[in-house]
Amino acid sequence: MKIFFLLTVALSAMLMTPTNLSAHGIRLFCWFEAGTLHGEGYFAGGDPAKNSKVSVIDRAEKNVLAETRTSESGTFSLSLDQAIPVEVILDAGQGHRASWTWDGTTEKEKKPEHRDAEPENTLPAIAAGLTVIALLFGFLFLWKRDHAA
Amino acid sequence: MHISEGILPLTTLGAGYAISALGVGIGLRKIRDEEMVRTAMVSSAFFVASLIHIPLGPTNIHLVLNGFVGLLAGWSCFIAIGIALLLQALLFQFGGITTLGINTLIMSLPAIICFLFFAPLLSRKKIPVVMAGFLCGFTSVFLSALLLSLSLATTGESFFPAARLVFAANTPLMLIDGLITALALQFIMKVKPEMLGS
Repeated sequence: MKIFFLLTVALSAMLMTPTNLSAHGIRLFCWFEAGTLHGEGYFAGGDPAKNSKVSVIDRAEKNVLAETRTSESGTFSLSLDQAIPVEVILDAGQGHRASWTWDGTTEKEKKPEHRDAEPENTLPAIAAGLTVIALLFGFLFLWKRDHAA
Repeated sequence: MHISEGILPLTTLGAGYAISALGVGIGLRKIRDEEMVRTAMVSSAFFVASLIHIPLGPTNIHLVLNGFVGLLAGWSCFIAIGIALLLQALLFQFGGITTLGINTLIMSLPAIICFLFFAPLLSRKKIPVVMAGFLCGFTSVFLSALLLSLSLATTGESFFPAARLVFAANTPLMLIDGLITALALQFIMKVKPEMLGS
């Protein structure tokens, strides 16, 4: 058991360096402003999704209304009729994709809900994940033992 | 390496689940009591390793370490990787539930191949540990990138442009994964060589 403890400590120290710790999922954040759709694509750790393909799909007609690419800062802007219900798809390649839907509301512009600039605190989720792994293998051990008996 | 929801066709998603379920079934039959802690440990390492991201061009790459998982968990790697990917999908929205099967397959099948090829070489000492570790880490990511490209090709996307992007983005990762796997194996061979005897 000592070796497992040492390895766990070594791997944890190597892998859980706070400056490197960051989630990998991609996010898309959009809003309308004066007839223009603005958007920002970023990875959960805060890095921008640069030069990624952005497609605006008409949700009723299912056709592509507009396409563009994100800038170096992960942002994009498109002139678009706010009354049309659309789905905005951000494709960062390698199967990384995020989408944002708009129901075509015209009465009131959606207020931007700016994302947090700071990276997410993933430590509680990591601790929860490691605990679940330990519990699952504990249950598997007991299940195997019962079935072997 | 995590394919998001809504990209792949149902047939690919179904095939991914079917083959991964078979792999998990074989793993459950083969795993022995004394291997539980080791398999849980490599599952934990895999779960955490994917959280280290390296910005590269328009996308991010992250450590995979599936070759390392394959060498230590053997046939149980489908269980170890499947559980880690499920938790990553639930806790961090990496990949997704519908793509869990195909993502598990993309990372576990190369791990099994590397286990079958490199474990005998290591046990018979036919190749230096550091070299075996590097080649194992490199090859597993290479094969995962190939499977990822093939999966993306089922969307109707041309294989070669998609593969070119995937391999261009993942070549540094192959080198990094190879290096880390080599260092980890060297450490294990010094302090607890029997850990590699799956």
